[in-house]
Amino acid sequence: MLGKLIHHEFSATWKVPVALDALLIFLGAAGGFTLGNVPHMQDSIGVSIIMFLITVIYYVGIIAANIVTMVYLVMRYYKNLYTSQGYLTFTLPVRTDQIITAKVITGSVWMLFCFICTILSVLIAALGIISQITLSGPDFIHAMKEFNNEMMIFDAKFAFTLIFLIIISAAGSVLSLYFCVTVGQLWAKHKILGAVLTYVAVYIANQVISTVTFFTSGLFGTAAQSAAEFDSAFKTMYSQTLLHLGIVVLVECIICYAACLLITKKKVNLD
Amino acid sequence: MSSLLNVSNLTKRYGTTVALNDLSLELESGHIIGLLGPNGSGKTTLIKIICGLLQPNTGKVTVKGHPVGVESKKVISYLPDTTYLDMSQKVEDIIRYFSDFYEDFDTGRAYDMLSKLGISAKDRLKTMSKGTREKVQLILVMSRRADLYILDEPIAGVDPAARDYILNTIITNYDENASILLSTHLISDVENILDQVIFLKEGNIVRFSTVDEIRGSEGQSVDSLFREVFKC
Repeated sequence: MLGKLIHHEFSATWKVPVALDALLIFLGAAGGFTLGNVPHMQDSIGVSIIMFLITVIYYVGIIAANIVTMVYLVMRYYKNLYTSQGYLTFTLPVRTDQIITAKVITGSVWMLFCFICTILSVLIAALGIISQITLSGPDFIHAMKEFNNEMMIFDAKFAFTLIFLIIISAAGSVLSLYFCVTVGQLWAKHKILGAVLTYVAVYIANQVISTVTFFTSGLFGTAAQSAAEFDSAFKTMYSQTLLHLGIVVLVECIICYAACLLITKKKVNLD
Repeated sequence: MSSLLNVSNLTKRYGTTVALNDLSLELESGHIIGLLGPNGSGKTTLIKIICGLLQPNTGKVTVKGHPVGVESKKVISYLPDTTYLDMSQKVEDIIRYFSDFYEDFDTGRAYDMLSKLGISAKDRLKTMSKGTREKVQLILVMSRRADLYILDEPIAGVDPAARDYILNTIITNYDENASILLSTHLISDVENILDQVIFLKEGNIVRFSTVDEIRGSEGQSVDSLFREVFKC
């Protein structure tokens, strides 16, 4: 039954996230092309203003696409489970954990695609701009390698940690929002207000936990390192911070999932 | 007859308000039972608990011996008193959805009923009138070969012609071995199809008997007895 739930969830939700992902790629291509084709006229103040506006529009577009994806997923979760549509969802012959799991898997996949498309969009935009720089392809790759050697960031462990963090962040962003909606439905009235207040509390808790994680990972301690140890510390700092953040988000995911499941099983409150 | 639904010592409170008060009930297969009571008597609360949409404070519900859960939901076909479908979906998508999840869903029967009413399965619910949407929901619910149909106010807010269609659909599409629990306060409209009635008042069952008993012993219709029992 879980497979059927996931299948129907993907079928019902694919249009909006795919359209937004396509928009992200388009923004990257359009931004990269536009910005990449004006540097030779940079002397003009008018062109500089246009470049600034294009950059702003690009960033606003990226942020908006991410927010709209999240809002769309969370609204669907709320409607399907805690409005009149819940009468159908909760009378299906499936377990509550299967309902929640299907929502979490599909939501996480769409959020992950959104993150990937955001990264691709930035890369496409950057490539468009870089193509205007008078560096040949091999020279550019050589320069990037030199940069990496200097900074000692991109090794296999770092790449693995980064991928882990991106995947777990996609699930974490979806699950924390689902958690807020699930807690919000416990309010007899003003369920959306309850969800918003829960979100504020979760956001504050997240900020505190992230700050503590940064400190314990040595991010703010790097300045105290000697110059000789700086390179090594820099690499360790990035790897450790990302790994610790990933573990924190993983723990948050587990807590949010368990809470969603427990509340929905024991305290479902359909008017 | 075997016990289809068993409700024992069910209590549900909303804050300080008692919606169901230590209510016990046993229904057998093969009957059409009217769940009758004024607004706020606990009809919808009882139905929601049986369907697993609300958790009781105390008490137990079993359907064919199964507690409320996956097994009980397999044999209950529930029509809520509100539109519970995604308005953006086409009727054919919803039929596919029901067919995928309910083993007892008869797709042919659903399409047959739709065509008799001239409803296109290609249409989206949001393009339909409220009355047509309610008919689609009823068709979906009655296209299942369930053991227990629970219909919450199926004829409320529809015109008399639509009421006739709904009641006719109900009595012509259910298996004689199944039971229908029908909640309403429009008693005169449903009286002729009921076998048994449950009068619910302030969360308590004040009467559970057959329609024949009421007519025989009380010498009055269910509608007039209801008016007498629930006189304000």
